[in-house]
Amino acid sequence: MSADLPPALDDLRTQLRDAAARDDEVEARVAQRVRGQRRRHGLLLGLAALVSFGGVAVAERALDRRGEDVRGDRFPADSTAAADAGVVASSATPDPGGGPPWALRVFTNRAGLDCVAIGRLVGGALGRYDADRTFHKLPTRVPGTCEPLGETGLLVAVQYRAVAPARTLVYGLSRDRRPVRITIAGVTRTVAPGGLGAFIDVREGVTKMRGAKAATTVGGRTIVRDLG
Amino acid sequence: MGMPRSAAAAAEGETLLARSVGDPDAFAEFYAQYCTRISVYFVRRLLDPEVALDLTAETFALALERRRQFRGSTEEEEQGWLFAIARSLLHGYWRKGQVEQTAVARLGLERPSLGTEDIDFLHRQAGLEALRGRLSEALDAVRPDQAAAIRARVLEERDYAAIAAEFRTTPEVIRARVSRGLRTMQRFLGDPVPDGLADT
Repeated sequence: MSADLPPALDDLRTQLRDAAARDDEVEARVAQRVRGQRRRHGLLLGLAALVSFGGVAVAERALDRRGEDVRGDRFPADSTAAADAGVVASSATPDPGGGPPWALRVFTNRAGLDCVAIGRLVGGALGRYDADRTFHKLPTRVPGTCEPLGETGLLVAVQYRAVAPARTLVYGLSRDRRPVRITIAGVTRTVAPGGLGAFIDVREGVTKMRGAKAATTVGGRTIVRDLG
Repeated sequence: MGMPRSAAAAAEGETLLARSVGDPDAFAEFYAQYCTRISVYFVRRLLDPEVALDLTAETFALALERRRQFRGSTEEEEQGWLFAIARSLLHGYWRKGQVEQTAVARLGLERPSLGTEDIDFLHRQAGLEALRGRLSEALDAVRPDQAAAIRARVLEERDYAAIAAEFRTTPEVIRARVSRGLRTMQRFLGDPVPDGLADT
């Protein structure tokens, strides 16, 4: 016990010290995961480049040549898309610290699964900020989290942003577009899905996911996903 | 007031808060450095050690969660940053009549119960005895229904449900009367015992 503090304030000191240790541990795990993902992503890109370089070279010789991209026609502003293809503008969710909203890209992968990827929405483009607060547009073929939504009814993914300001992002697709209740560390929020059933919950800090859940109603049944 | 600042942190020209990232003991030291001032800040304005302890816990829980966002490099900036969180929570309490405890819940902290030793410590540090005369004058400046709620809650230390039953209203209404009345008293008193930082 600290000699200067009465029991209640001293008890709080011990609890905060333990909480700081837990928080550091989570932060270290997240950083390790991010480093691992970058390494794997780099290896996959290298492999993909080797494979596609050989394949494209053969295809170009055997089939058609690739010319310039088709130029876009001019349309009135209100008849053009609000966001890049696949980006669900109605999923836009504000960040607690302000700045561009978070949004989802929804797409189907080659295996026919429904997929989502998350980013910040700037000028209709999905991207991310680096540590210098510079926006980088994500490639159209960004990897996502995929599931057969027709069978499962609810797709939920969790991501952390370790670069300040730290965030915990829970997002996904609700097949029946019913509200999704997300409970993390005892705090429940209900989010209303936008187009295609896309939903996002943004929380400040890197939150412990032990006991965290997401729940919605699909086909009249309640579906609960453990996020921990 | 508070513990002497870590010689190591001062020698390295680094704030305790900056050093606390990756060093839980430094965060405990940061807490020990400021917890008395923060809790006294709340006690002087709310006259209620229970609420003051809840707001103190939330202040440090938020500081812990946001410590990686702190960009300052001096002790003054560190204090200013921490008191900005405390001020924001105090104004939230005055506005809503309820203590925000979301960061405490997120971190899984348990509220310690206040004993006589704690209450005596907070009253002594806040200098409430010296303020007694002025508090009585300040209470006269408050609306009668709010003053009655403050007397019942703060002076008689009754719980909100019992006060609400007596006044034939809900505990939420009593909470709002107490918090708004205390805010009026604070305006009347000004800053009776300087905290070293203006309450803006």
